[in-house]
Amino acid sequence: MAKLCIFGMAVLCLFGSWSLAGDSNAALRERMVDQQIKARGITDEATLKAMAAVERHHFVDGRLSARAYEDRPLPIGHGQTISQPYIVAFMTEIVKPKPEHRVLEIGAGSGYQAAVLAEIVDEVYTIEIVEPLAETSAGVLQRLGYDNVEVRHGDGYYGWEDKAPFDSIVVTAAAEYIPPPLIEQLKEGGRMIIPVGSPLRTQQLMLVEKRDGEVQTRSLMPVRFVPFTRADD
Amino acid sequence: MIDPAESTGDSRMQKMGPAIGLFSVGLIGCQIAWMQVLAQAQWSHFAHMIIAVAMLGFGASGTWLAAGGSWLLRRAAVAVPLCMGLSSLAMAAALYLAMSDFARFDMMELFMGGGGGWKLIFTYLIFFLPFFLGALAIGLVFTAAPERAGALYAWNLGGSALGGPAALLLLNFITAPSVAVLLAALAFMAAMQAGLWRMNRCFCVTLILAMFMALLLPPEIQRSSYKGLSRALDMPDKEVTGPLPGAYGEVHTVRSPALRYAPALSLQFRGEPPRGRAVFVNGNPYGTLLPDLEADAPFILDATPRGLAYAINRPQSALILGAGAGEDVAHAQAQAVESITAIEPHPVVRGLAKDHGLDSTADGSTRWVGGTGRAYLSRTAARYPNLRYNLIVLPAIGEFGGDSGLRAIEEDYSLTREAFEQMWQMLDDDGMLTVSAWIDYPPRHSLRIAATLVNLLQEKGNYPVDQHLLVARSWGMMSFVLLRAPLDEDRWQRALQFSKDQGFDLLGGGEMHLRTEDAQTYHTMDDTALMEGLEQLYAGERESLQADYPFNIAPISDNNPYFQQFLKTGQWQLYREWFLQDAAPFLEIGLPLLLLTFVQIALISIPLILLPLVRLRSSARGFARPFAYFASVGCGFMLWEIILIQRYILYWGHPIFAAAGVISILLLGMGLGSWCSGRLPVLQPWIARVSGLIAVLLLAYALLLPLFITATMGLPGAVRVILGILILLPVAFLMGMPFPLGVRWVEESTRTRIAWAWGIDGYASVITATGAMLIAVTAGLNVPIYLAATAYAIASLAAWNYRQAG
Repeated sequence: MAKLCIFGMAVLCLFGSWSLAGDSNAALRERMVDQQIKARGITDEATLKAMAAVERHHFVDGRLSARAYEDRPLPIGHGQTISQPYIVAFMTEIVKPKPEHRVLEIGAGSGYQAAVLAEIVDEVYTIEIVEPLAETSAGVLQRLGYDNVEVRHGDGYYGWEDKAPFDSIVVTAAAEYIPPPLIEQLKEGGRMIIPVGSPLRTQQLMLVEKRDGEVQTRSLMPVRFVPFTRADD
Repeated sequence: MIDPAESTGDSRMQKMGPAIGLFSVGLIGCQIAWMQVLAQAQWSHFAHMIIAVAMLGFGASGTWLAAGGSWLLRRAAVAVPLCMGLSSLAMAAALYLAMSDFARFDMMELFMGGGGGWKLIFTYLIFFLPFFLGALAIGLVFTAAPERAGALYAWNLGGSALGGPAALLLLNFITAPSVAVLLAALAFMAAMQAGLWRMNRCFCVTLILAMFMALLLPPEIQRSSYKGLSRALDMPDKEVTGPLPGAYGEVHTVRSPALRYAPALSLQFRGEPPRGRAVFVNGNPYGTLLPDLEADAPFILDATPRGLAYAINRPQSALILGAGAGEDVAHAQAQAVESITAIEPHPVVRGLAKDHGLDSTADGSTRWVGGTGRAYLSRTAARYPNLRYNLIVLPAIGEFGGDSGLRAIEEDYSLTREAFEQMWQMLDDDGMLTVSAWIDYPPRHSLRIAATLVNLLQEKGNYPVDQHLLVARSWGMMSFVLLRAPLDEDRWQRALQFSKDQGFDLLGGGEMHLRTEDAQTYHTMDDTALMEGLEQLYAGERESLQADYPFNIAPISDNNPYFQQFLKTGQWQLYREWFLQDAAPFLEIGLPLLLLTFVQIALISIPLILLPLVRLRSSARGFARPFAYFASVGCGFMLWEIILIQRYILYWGHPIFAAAGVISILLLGMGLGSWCSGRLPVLQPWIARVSGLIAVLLLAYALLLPLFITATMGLPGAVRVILGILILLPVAFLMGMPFPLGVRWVEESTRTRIAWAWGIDGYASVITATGAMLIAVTAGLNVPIYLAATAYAIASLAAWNYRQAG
């Protein structure tokens, strides 16, 4: 009988701790949104809601899950990172996603950015060139119920021609060049966001807009740091 | 405490010279091979920490000798060969351990909070152990046979002098892990010669067999997943060649359908970028071997800002400096330049580029030359004073995405004021010089190169910046074109057409394009720092920009050749704020990392030096002057050595030759000096005079060496090598004397101090190795030499006063 009681208590503790861990992650997520995202000027309601909803700790390696909500990028293997939460929020807000939108992501990585976008828009297509990462992210997204996200292993250079044109394109992996096919697959009036710089270091985001067939680019303020000011400013 | 009375009297210690020499070859050679392996697995910063670990091992051995030396000294005949044997075993095992899953770590993940700190400590320990045990053996021999200190020290220095070149030679033929194992085997032979063979033959045979097996199965290098090569190896359908061994770094090439070459490509470009074969040196991207150009197809670089120079002129001759895998050579060939000279120091990469069809030596149109750009410019100016080029091309500056200031302590003599002056002299009347820079944030590389070009024009006088400097800017890169002749209407129109076709913003030339708001048609920047900085430069306000800007963007010189060092004194308050915002480590971590290393080493060293003092308190009286003497000698030598290597990089053309050559000459000269010091009487006036003479000589070198280098830079390479050796030998010879003379001096009172001397000298060296770089990067190359002279002057005074006090 005593053994049964001990077993029962152990089961209760186990479930209790699981439940507490869930609460704890929710609290961390809430704090992340308040302190790292809202405080830095992200105001789009849909973005904030999505950032609060996506369970980021599922997208990082188990040994790092306790640090999932910290204000930093984290390694996910193969020389890739899951971006700092604020960068994900900034990139989401800047492409102005709407529920009816179709969004292409280049560089699925952990799958976290795709999950955030999937909270807002109807269709998300994401391409990952590193096969193990493509498999892992597809598995996590499926497990978490994001059935409006399609993951493909392949070279993001060509985009996803079958599903083009896209309202927005989110490039999460910095590249030395912007693939011409992506510009072609961007809808007229569409927006593409690309990080210029390494995710580990100083990073600027660049907005590419297609208007009347013309392509214009704009380097936005760097997303990791406070604005850079000169001595005489 | 060790006392003369406790001496073993073992004559075997006096005959240890050859064994010490052979062992030193293995130990120092292994260090060079490890640096090469770690530069491949991680980054060169981590590899250079091996130097500090080596010096720490040497210093700590002195402490151990001082603390427990009498026990070891009584057993020196066994302890010396055993320590040598264990050290060589640790040498052979080090890479297997460091590359194992247990110890393997990723420096990038360490910065990202991904953990692995204890693995880093374990890795330090792995590399510390061979140096500690090896130095323990050497120090024990010195202590046991102080009367032979000069000769033994000479064997030690001579062996060490050979170790570096031996490793470099081997690296040309076999991979770095194999070199490390081979040299560990050599060190083991020294241990056997020292007595290990007589002690236990079975153990020796087993280890010989193990090392033979290790040679057949050398450790495999486990690279950081953030290295360029690791990323490329993740690409689908890849084809890899390599590693191709080379003293300049091991080379890999990777081809994959997903690896394309299109740096900062125009958004107007609608074709498909070429798929090349990416070249990596030590795991870092080095260039791309481009496929043959299809007939009538545009060359990819014409759709980048780098096409500006060819858009406005049709050069007949081009000099490509730092040609790498030959992208700019292919560009010039595609533009039908009749005579192309490509300068590339890495022989393996040069060979790859030539084999790739970028060599047209037969018809004289393309010629590849080894060595650095500066060496070529000096040599050519001296031999062919009338040779001129239509176009000089420099490689792109900065790294895509920035490098977080990691290269702040790397010298670059190709971007100094003196280098640009030489390039200017080599341009014909209608010539152009073009250099590109990746746009960085905050702007540093881009503004410094712009300031350097503007400075050149201002120094020349009568060269209005807007008529002689054009800038094309895309979303990621800026290309500067410096023109010797003022811009005429025809070229201006061609530049405008190029920028319109490619969607690049243009700065310079016409009045409309001097205002930065007019030069943001295609790519706008919310941050105004770069464009306002350029506007100030065009307006002739270079000096006020340099003074007000939070980073140091002033042109660099041969005396301070650190192009990538941007931190500025007077701005520490601002940097402190960035640190508090967690931003600074991502901006400029090179110098802070160096500072951190210096503080760590200093903190570890101080207690390790002070520890034996507790045991030696009874004899602490009169200790201050020997301490000052050995610390000054250690500091002075290392300050001189580090700076000399920096100076000789310019003179001999490559950091590896400079490092190996300077270290070898210094050690060789010191070995001879050490040997001869045995003939000098151990009298304080002699010791003081030698140190004083070195101090005076160093002052003379500080003043005359830059002039000597400038005057003889144009001579053939072999002559420069001979002159370089000859000019260093006198001071190296003298520098070999203070340590053995000092050892014999303190030996007269107590032998414990010999071990102390060994330790203090080592610790002073380890602290100064990083300290010298800190001073050089912030104050220029001459200041550390003045400090080295001061250190030897202090040593002289310490020895002189000691006599008077005594």
